[in-house]
Amino acid sequence: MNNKTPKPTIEKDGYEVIPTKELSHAIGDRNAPAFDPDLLARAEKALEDLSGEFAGWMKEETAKLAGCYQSLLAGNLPDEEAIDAFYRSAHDLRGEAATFGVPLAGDVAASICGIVEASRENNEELPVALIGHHVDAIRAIVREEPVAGNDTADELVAQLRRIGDEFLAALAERHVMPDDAELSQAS
Amino acid sequence: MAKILFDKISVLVVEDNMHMRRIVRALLSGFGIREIYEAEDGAAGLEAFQQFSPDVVITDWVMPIFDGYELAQMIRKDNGTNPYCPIIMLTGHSEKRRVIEARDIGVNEFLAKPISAKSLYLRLYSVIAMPRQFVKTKTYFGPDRRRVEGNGFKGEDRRDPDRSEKFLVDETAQSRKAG
Repeated sequence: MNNKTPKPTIEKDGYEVIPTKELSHAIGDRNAPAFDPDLLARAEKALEDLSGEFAGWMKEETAKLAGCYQSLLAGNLPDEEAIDAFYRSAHDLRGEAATFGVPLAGDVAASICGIVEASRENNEELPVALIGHHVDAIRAIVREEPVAGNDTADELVAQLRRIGDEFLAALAERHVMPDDAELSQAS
Repeated sequence: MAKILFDKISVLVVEDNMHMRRIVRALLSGFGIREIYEAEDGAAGLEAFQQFSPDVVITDWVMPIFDGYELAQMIRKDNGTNPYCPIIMLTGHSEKRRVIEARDIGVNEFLAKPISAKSLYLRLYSVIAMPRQFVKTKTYFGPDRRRVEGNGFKGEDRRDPDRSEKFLVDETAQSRKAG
């Protein structure tokens, strides 16, 4: 364990600077190269060994997102709880989809996250229909397994992005804060 | 530059998504790390942190109970364990404001998903071999957020992970040639 007993603190301009030690027990040959291609290759191989699972995991995550969306519609859970679960699921997909080989689904999930975040920050109702289109798109992308450069899938994602951006722009307009000049004019 | 003895360090992975935990564990094991602890949410993460006192914490941001942001805050305030513990925030967030938020609560490194072996290696190398000094003010406790000269990475883009990676690779190639 390192860093538990750093050297005495130094007073400097009203704040303390605390020298932090490296994890010395984990440092080997100091003249050795920092970057070890063999280690990296081993880690990449470990990831590749897992990759046979990715298609199944992607389907599981997509089903989970669709389930959370249904809960959101059904109103079985308190609103905040249902939105939280749905958002976490979309956020997971956003981060995982590219690793799982379906980056387009990650783009759509990112759009969902942006819409949910902006709606919550501005205390607005979630646009459930718009979100539903996104969920359907992810399901279609995962079902059809489009390869990179698939025009239909690219166009679908681009269209959703456009609609999502329009929603966000309209929301920003509704919640624009008056600047100082406008306030002084009003008074 | 230095060789990292990955088999000598312990890592706590706090991530609510089972699949992502398996991916991170696979990469860490690939590096040779044998002591890997896992927790499914922020609360279990804090408990594991206090119990196992890991050398490095890798945490997701968005999690139930309390999230990675709150976990990082608690670790920095936890005088009983190791408030200096390096924290790598691994997250689906990629917006600049999120990077700044994470930095402002004392996170050492920010790693946006999708994760790769190279990006994780670089973050681990950075926190293990090139840790920043800590700063304590009335409102902040964590790694020094100012630019640091002579931290090993050179050039105006030394904070850019891709450039840092290129630097490490170049240095490695040169030292191999020399050796």
